[in-house]
Amino acid sequence: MLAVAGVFAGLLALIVLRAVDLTVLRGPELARLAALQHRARIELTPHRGPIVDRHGEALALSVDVPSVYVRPREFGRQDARLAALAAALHLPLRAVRGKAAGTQGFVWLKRQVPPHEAEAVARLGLKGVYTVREGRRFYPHNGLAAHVLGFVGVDSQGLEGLERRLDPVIRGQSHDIEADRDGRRQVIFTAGVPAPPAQGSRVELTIDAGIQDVTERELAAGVAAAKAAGGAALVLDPSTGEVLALANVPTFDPNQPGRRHDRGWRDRVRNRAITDPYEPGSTFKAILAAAAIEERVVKPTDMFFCENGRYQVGRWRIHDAHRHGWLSFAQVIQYSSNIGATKVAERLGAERYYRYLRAFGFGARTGIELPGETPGILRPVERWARIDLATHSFGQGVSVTPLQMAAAFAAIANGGLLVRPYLVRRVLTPVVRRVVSARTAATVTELLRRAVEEKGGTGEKARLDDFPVAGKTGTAQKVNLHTGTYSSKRIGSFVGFVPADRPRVVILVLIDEPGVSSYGGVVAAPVFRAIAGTVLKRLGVESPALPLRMASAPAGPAPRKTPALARSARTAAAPAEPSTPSFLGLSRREALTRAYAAGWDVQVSGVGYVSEQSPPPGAPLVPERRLALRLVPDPGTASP
Amino acid sequence: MSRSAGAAARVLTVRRPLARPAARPARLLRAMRGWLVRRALGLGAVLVGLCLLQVWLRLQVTHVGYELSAARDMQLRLEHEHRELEVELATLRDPGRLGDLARRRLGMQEPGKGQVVILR
Repeated sequence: MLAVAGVFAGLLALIVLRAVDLTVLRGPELARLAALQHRARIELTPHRGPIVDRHGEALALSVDVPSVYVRPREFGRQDARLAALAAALHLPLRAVRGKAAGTQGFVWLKRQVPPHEAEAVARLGLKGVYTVREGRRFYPHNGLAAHVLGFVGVDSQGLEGLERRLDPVIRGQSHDIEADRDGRRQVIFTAGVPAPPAQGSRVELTIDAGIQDVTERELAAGVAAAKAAGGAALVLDPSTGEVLALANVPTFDPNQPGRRHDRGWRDRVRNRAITDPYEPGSTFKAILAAAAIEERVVKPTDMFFCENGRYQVGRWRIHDAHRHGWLSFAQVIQYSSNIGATKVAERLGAERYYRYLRAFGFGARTGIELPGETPGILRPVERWARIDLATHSFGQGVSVTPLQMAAAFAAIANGGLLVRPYLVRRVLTPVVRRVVSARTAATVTELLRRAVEEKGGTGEKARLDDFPVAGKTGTAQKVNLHTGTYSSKRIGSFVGFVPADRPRVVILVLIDEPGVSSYGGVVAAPVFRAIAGTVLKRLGVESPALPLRMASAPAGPAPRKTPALARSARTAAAPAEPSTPSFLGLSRREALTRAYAAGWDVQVSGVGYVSEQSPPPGAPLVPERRLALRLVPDPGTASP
Repeated sequence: MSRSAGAAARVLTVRRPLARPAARPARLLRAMRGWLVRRALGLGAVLVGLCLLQVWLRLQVTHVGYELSAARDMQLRLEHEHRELEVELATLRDPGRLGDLARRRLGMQEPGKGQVVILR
């Protein structure tokens, strides 16, 4: 009995000793080894934040797509299946064989593949071939605002545009978590659900996708019509500096940006609106006018002799496109006389003119949130030759970026305040400084308005039917970069704002190397007109003359008229005073036009044609003219 | 004196001895053993119960862990689906595409002069 007890006691002692050995002496090491088997370290990768336009329309999003990789050691000798694998991934067999035959632990086979390719690979059931999901940037509108957005690399790193500049903000922060893993390598969250990684920030732009689309479309059409090498266009809100649209031609699709060594890649990807300085030509006369009027060296009515088209300055001769004799300063701007501008600049003096050029922001970066912005070229006044004052007066010998030019015009449009153009919406004070007084800005606006609105003005083709336009054309020679002299190539541009009396947008259009005509008034002004017309409608800007004109002669397609409608319309057209007129049976547009013209404050519900109105037709008029209209889709239900 | 005599008269007598007579030690031992065994069994049962509870809890934790894992997988799947739908929606809302559709399919055009009435 004792012997048996002794054996059990001995065995128990052995067990205890073994337990002490496993748990105390070798415990930590064994725990570490066990953890390697059942603990998993998982990296939680955030998605890049979306980029949206001013109305929340998504311009750039991230989605997960599969990427396929191989572990060559696990893959082993499955050579017979290589052809099927290559076919599933649409890769050359040689490339797949080379990757699978390596000795590395991990080799990408193909990254960011379409889902059907990943499914085809999974169906093959190959050992050592796996898929993993990776975030991929997707631009749902393809080329829309491509130069603003930029693009990302295969590892989702920003390479161009805002994707590059705002990369640290958009990218988010990844972090690792630990979790248990079972025998089938399935993760078990025994310690609770891990906190998600800090997602990349959502970036809201000042861009309006609709305006951007119109600007790109019209610019592309303008460049094609002018048979030009390229072009750029900008739409700015002059009161805030918000960039509503920024377009370049040629352009690219950020979903497939191509590679650096592709032919013409740099030309397509370059954001010429901020990176390409150009000689602004006669558009610069607006800046000269602002400076000269602010310094009171000239009035719009002052007369200048324009030397019949040829003017000698030292050993240089200045020409006008057309011969002019005596012109008022307003006409100098209207007809864009270089000689007149030279004489104004001579009155102003180089130092003062240079000071204003700097104040308007030339020769310095605007600070927009895009990489690669250039400051342009504005030489210090100490280094100006005698001719430089003259050439600077009509925009030669100085280089600016389209964005600088648009910002300078925005200062004239908003009453003299230089605003900083920006793309990312946030709370800030966009005003940089006052450059001219509100009175000077108003005078220059009037001069620029004449250049468009009056007969003979160089910007006639920018004129709109419903809104007054202020702007200036520009035609400048391009400098040959190899010889350093002017070439035969030209840049035609137009910068202006609309409506001239209450500016809502500044629009710059630049056509590079036009093939048909080099004049900005011919190639750029029509593009300005097309963009401005659509943008004003999109912004809901009402024409000041519209209600009266419409009241007298309703424009647009006539509404469908049933006999009942015709009766109603006749009633509405009849003199209504002093009782309430009838709007029954009219379309929404017609009813609103007439009601607004008669001074009614209107409330509308429903769609279609007016079926009820309050006060009813014929009711005595009261001083407070409030009208409620109920519309129904079927005009037959309208009851007079 | 009479008082002390009275006190002596009230001395309590022990009816049962504090220790059992030495004549029955085996019985005493049996009683103690029985008490110990009962306590040991009880303690053992509690320990076994605690162990079972621990195992049950551990199983529950693992089970909930699996459920969490499955829920997270579903969350990721739904988020992925949501992102894909967002992309699809944004693609369908592309202003260029809508403009083309309006022009080609519906025969629409940009509103002309006087065709836009701004609601006040």
